[in-house]
Amino acid sequence: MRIAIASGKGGTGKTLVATNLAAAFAKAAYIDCDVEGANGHLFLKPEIRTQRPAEVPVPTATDACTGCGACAEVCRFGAIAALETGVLVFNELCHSCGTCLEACPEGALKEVPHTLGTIRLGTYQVGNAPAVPFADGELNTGQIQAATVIEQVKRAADGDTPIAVLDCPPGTGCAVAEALRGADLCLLVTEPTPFGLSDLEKAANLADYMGIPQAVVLNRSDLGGADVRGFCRERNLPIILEIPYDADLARLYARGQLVYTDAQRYRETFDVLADAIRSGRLERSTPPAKRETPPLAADGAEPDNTRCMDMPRPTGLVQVAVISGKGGTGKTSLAASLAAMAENAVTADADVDAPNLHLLLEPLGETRTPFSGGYLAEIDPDTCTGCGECAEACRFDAVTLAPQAVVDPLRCVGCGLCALVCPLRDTGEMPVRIEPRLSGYAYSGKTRHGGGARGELLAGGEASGKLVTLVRSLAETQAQRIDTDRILIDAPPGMGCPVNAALTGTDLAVAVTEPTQSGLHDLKRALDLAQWFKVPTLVVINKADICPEITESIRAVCGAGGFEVIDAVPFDRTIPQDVAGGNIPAFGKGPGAAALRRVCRTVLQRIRQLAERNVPSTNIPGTLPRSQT
Amino acid sequence: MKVCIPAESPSLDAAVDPRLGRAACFVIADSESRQMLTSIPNTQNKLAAAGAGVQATQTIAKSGAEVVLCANAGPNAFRVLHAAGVSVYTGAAGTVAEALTAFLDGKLELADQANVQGHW
Repeated sequence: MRIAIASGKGGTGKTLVATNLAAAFAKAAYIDCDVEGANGHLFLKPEIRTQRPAEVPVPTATDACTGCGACAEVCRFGAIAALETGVLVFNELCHSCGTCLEACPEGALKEVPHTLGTIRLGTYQVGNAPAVPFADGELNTGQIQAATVIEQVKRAADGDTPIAVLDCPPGTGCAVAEALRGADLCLLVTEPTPFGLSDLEKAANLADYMGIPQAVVLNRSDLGGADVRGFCRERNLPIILEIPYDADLARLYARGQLVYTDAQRYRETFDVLADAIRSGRLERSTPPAKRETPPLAADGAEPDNTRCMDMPRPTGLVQVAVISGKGGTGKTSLAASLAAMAENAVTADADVDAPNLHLLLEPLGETRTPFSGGYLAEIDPDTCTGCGECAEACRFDAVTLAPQAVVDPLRCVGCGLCALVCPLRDTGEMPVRIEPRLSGYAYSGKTRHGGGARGELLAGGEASGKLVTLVRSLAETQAQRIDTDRILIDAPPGMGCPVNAALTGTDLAVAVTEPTQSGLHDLKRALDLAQWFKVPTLVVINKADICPEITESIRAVCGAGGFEVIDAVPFDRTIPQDVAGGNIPAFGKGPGAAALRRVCRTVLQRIRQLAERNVPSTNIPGTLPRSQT
Repeated sequence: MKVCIPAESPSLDAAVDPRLGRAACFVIADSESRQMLTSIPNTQNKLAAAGAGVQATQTIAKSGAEVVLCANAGPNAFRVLHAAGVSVYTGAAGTVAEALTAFLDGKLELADQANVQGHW
């Protein structure tokens, strides 16, 4: 039995549930699929026996190449340049689809391995229980194909253990779809805040579409007050575990301890959960209805890329990104507070996998722009003969015969190999068409607090920096419209392509972290990334009193790296309540709100200083801003 | 000598497009006469999901231009132009004609590597 632990929103407690559930099963293999921020190892402390690169085949030209350019022409990822001097391949853009090899008239391309990241295999042991398999992976900085690494981690870990627990990445994009694939049960970990609820719905939609039964774990079940229970009733989703907020649990978790072994009452909690899953008692009366409409084709809107990146970049803006690495540290609460206190700014919600900022800023009428981030194969059942050439050629198993060829939109990367190998390709009866796929939407307009733009990737969509770029371009247009020079970007969690798109060309980053082992681990990666982009970065430690010793470690790490920690915000249970009431967290009455106001004043002061400096036209995304001195 | 300049429209008076891979179009000008020889639309790459820098610079290489004058060149674009033997000068601003003058006056910088990160 394969149990996938997922959640649309980051930081809801996926890894807490996954590691402790695995411990409770005693013999469950643990597969960490969050390759942009794998944290399971911090708790299970595995013994890693082998470590090997996650590789994909990429093409390279041999001496037989005539420079005809057929390969570059068919590549839908722009990964090949055919020059008189030879063929250049851009490995990080390549999807390893094999279309170029098929197109080459000379057979002059061969494939060589390219490293995307690392796969680690080993065993972990809980107490005196026998050692069981452990696997995780890490995507290298600058690589974007998280889903491929996840697939390889899963394949490498495929042993004969009867139970496997898979810790999924946050979000609902293609990486999550890859992690969920083949699962017998999906545990959705959420929290009763409007953010948690909004993202739970997206994750449940994806699992429904994939035909995977789900059950819900409600973490910090007494904080917030959003009607998650009502939603679960409506969707017939059983809530099989509720974990109220507990400072002791938070502290143990923060230190990287496994609560299953270190806190007796949680041992019982997870034993009960494991029993419920093992016995199939999930109190669900009906299986999930497989959704008719694939999530990637939403409501038939035609993507219109002509709006994308069409605007000349305005100059003289001050762009500030709120980042974190780990999800759930409080990025959106800070971004919303900054927007409300800035009075005249534009927000860009770049967390296109799980956009939440608008839930607090309340858009007042938005314009919607369909977005296409790639292609999708469509096969006409009336003309397809069912010969199976395409199904055999497709490297992503995206085509099945029933008996005509049918494309799975969640697997198809839009490479076009199926069209190239179709025996009917040069006839009038050609059944395969490669069309721009609708991948999501961008929205822009006024909000209750200044202008706003946000993006929303459809479930299963490829994590798309391009959608982030579109959102930022719409935010820049809004800034001109409402005559402001301030743009606040709520960046996504993780390390991949959308984070890069959110950070590039910004003038300042604010990293929000929390004093947990995983928060610290991911903060280091986020600071590395900010440094790589040469963006000056301020650090805010949220929920700082949960674990004072890690708060100190964070200060030490920041001090050593030359990063300024501007403030620490105490844990305050009124903040999730304010969020649940749709209120701006910084305007609340508690000590957390007071600290947030202080943080906002400091950040806004820095923004003013940046704006006052006669900023030359260096705000074009991609331009390296001035050095950090 | 043929010089290529990314521009917001096909004219010597158009503004230099600060992006290379996703520029609106490319003006091909002659450095001696300072006249526009032709222009190449870049619509397809401007809207591409990925690889705009690679494909746009491949087009530039095929145009026969020996020099590119641009505001910024990312790593992929630079690699293609470098491999094709096209010289890259960065720091171009203002109109296409002004960029050309700046280049001829020796005011633009010959790039030996990309001067910006990928635009994503």
